[in-house]
Amino acid sequence: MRPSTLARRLAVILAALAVAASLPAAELVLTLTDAASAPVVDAVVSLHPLDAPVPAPGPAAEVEVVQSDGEFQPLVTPIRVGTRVRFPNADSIQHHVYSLSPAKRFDIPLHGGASAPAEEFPLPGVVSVGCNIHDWMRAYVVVLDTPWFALSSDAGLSRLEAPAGRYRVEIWHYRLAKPDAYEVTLAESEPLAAARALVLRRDRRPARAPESGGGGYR
Amino acid sequence: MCPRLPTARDRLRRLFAAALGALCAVILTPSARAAQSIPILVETSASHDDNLGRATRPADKRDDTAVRLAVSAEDARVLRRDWLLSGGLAARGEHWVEFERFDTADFEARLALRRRFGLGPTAPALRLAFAGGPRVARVDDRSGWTGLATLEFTHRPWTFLRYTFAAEGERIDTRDTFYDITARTFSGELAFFPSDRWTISTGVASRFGNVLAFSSPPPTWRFLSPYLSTVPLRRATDFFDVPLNAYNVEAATVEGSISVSYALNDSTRLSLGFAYADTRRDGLRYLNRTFTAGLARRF
Repeated sequence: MRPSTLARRLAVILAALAVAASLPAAELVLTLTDAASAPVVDAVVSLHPLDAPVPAPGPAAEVEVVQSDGEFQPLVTPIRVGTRVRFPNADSIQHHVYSLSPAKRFDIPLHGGASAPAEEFPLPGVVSVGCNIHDWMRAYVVVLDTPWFALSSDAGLSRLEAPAGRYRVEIWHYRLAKPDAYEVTLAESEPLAAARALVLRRDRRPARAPESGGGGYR
Repeated sequence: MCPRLPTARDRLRRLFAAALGALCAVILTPSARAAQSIPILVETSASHDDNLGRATRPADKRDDTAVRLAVSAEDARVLRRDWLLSGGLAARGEHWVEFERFDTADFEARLALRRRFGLGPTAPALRLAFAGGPRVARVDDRSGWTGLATLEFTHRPWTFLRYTFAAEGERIDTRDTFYDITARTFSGELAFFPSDRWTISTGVASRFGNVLAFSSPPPTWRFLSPYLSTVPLRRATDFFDVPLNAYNVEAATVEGSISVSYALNDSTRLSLGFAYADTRRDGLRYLNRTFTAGLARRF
């Protein structure tokens, strides 16, 4: 990249950040529960501005989804478009990490203890990640084109800070048939506390428990 | 006084002790647990067969329960994007509660090559597997070598359903050739996964090959009967509480089975199964009903 282009991009990013910082901050506190009133964990809540442009992404960040003890850690990773994700294998057995999702397709065979160059996620969407050797392993990288997002905690709580204004709230969970969305207006005066009940589907991922008779690598 | 030569029973005991010792060392030694990352699968089951000796006459039928213990470890390597090579070792023991002369212990090496037509659990897969190794039987003449070759096609079109077709070739070479077994089996299985914990599966299999069948020694005049003259191999045995003749015959078996299993957690599964086998040869028919309860745990 030429220095002048880089400088121009940096200026745009700084200007966007300055505009965002100058706007009064508002807060959304969302509690998610399922049909049985149990907290919904690992849901991604994001805010998409309806009356203002989305701030440009900052410098590409890098995050990790680790393969450890035959599972991906964490299960759900929300990221901004352009973020790079590394998939280090902390196990001493081999894994074969792959995605068939339209937002990002890849496959990386990884020997025990190895890592691979980070993968860039340039398109918004949900990227379902699996292991082609251990079918029960799965992870989700939720790629968002907004800087305002949060992952629900063990208590089903998501706390988001954004400039005051009108937003579309999107809630994604891997057991939702389709993302839940509704409109909200955030004011700077006080946090907006809301609760949302979600109808979750049955979890049908292949079981990790051994099959009767062994089963082997089928 | 001459030292007593080890019998098959002694060898069986020693091998069981060695296998259990190795297993305990791996499971109980913290450093060994930390060092090993290849999962070890331990399976135990109890199985009741209502006609262990495949007898046709009611007076000859004997039922019994077998307890089985199997320990195995398997690892896999990606050869190319769609090709997976896996290999492992297994030790299996089978003990019949009442008629313990049927007891066996198998030690097996396994090698399999899997070709998946795509990535992920819903991609169809073809698998060629070989397994084989020494068998130690309580009746020394039944000790020998076992070998199994399997070609299997598996497809899970949806996460809740999987079907499998398999062709198997089996060979057991024993010390006394009377007990040799050669068989081929074609089978199909349908597995339904209503949740990530429950599995319901049903299968059918068609097997053609050697089976051992037992019956009371016939009266002397029956040796002249046309049927017995067609049975090439016959042996007087003491497998049961009464002397029964063993026949090694080639027969066709059709088997239907159904099983239900429940995952207690990510490493433990309980299963219950029922199988009905119908074996026929030259107008004779051997029926077997088998109930099995099993527990599998991955360490």
